[in-house]
Amino acid sequence: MTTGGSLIWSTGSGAMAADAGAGDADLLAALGDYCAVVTLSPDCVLLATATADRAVVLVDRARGVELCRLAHGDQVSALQFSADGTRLATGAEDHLARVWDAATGAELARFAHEDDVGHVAFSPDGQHLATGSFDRTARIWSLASGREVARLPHESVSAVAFTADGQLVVTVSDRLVQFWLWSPKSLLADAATRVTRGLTEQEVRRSMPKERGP
Amino acid sequence: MQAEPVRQDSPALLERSVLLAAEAMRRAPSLEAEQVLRKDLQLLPRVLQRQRHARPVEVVRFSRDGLRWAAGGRDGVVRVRAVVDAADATTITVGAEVRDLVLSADGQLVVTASGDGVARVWELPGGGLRSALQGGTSLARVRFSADESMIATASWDGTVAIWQTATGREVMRVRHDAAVLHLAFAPSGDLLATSSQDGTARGWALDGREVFRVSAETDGAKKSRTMSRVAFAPDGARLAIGCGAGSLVICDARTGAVELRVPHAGHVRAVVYSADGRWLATGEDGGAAIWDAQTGRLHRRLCDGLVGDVAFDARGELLATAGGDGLARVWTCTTGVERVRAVHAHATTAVALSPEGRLLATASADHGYDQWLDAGGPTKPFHGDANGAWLWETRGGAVAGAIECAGQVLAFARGSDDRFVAGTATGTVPLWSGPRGADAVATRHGARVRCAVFSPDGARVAIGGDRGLGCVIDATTGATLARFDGVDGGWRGSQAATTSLAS
Repeated sequence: MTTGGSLIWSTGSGAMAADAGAGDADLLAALGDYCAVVTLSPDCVLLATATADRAVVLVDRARGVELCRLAHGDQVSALQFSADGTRLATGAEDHLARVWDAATGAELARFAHEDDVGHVAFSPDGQHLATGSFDRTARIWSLASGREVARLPHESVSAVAFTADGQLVVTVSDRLVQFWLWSPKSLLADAATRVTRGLTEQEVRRSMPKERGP
Repeated sequence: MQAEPVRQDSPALLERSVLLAAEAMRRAPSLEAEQVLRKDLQLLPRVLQRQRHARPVEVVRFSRDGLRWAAGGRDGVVRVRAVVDAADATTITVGAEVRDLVLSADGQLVVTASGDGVARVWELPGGGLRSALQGGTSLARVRFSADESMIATASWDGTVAIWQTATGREVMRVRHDAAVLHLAFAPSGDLLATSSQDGTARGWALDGREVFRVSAETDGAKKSRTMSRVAFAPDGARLAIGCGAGSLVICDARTGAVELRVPHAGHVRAVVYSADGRWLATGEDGGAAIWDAQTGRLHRRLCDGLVGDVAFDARGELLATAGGDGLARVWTCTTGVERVRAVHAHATTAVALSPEGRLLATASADHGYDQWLDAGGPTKPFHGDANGAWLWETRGGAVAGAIECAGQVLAFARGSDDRFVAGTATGTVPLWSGPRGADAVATRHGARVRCAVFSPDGARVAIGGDRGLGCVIDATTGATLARFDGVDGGWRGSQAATTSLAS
């Protein structure tokens, strides 16, 4: 998040800006009472903020105009743009994480948790979304298939992130910051370094479903 | 897909469960297989080294600095290896089966106790024999005094002997009426405690005078009278004695006056204090347990089945247990949660944890545990290839690393190059790189930290906290670069949810 020397503070009763080159202060004041969750697109052109009326507002900062309003079923508590700035992920108290087209405001995907979604993070390549919820799980979703790829159990989740290379998912729970292998490929590679033998033919016969014929 | 039920039914089948879940994942990735694989991998440690022995191994030790580990087997072979390099090793051929061994703190000596009744002092790294001390007909245990100036041996023929380490001169020789199974020097070095199959544990002054005697309770007529283990509390005030009849006795270490008898289910096979004196751990026929060493109250029961050996790390945070079922398990003492589970084909006979708790050494035998445990003299023929010693990490899979912060993390951010910052409820702000916490520094903020954001170039971090306190710190050194006070009153005022700093 970068902008030439500007500083935006989010507060409980609104957001304020200091030394903002393009009128962010006026902009935020105009948005009203509730801007506790604010984020900027990577190129700093767009600003997204959650509003008190269960929506997210996308704003063009240079022109100071509202581009679109994304309606949610309940209060939005997490916002993040993808690295290329084309998409916005939101997490809300309606138990859903959603992915939106940042240009058009079209909803591209939605992923269901069993409780409030408090944290969202795109993978660096934009292919996956990590979500953290009050349902005591962090989950990783494939944006291509729409499927849940991994589920990480927690007592509580207070942050999620990917490492820079996208290989690990970082979760924060109470005092603990954990770095997880999340992709099936990395789990299988890890398993290969820990097992001391292979499956016997008997074990395969007994426990695995029959391979489909040609 | 049967991986999950397999794991729950029998803890020994952990590896098979991983193999089945991995195969299921390979065939058709599913969340179900992912969950089983992830859960099982978190318990499965990685083997770092393996030492093969022709016959059962009954003892493993780490050097005090944790840089080397040693194992000795009934095949008469002792290997002392560097934990980072299996090729950096000394192999000693003792010439008689090895029952016990100790390493000196400076890593210069290893002392073996053998089935031929001889304790041998070997010099490292050369492996030359310095002295051979005849301590009876068949030795069970050997121990150094705290300052390592003396060596004591316990023999199956009832003999207890003490020698000077430097000269090999005999200091004391006394007898029990039956086999002596265990012994321990008091931390002060002026008292030796022994436990015997004659139904007594005794305290000896170094001139051979018997200072006290604690007898096994004989109420239950058919119960074993064996006193199996002795352990001094680190402060030397108390002595814990494990009994074959199934009780743990805590007595005054100077007088032998019994303070507490704790009944158990079965034979007590191992008794160890943690170095900080907080915990006492026991291995029994019916499992393992951690006790509050001050009150004698049960803290946690850990597992079922025969546990023949237990060992703490130097901090008293982790406990390892050696199971007759082949499982060596590492537990977190405070919570009783299992951390990793090392699986052996047959019995696990001994365990040791490196001082900082990062490594687990295990010894294994290819036969049932009871066969060798109290067998004493001549041993039955053994076969199979499960005899050996293993070195493991005490970390499971699926997680590449974890950082424990000094307080609840209220703010968290990642900068470029995987530099991380956390802001905690206690006002500490740890900064580190990567999953293992490289280049970690911690700085303090004047208040509970509510938010943290990296500057675009990753060089600085903006921190916001309670009471309107904000600051900018150097992301590498943690040094404070700028400070802002009274930002809009309360903490919300300084919650820089979107803060961008001039680059």
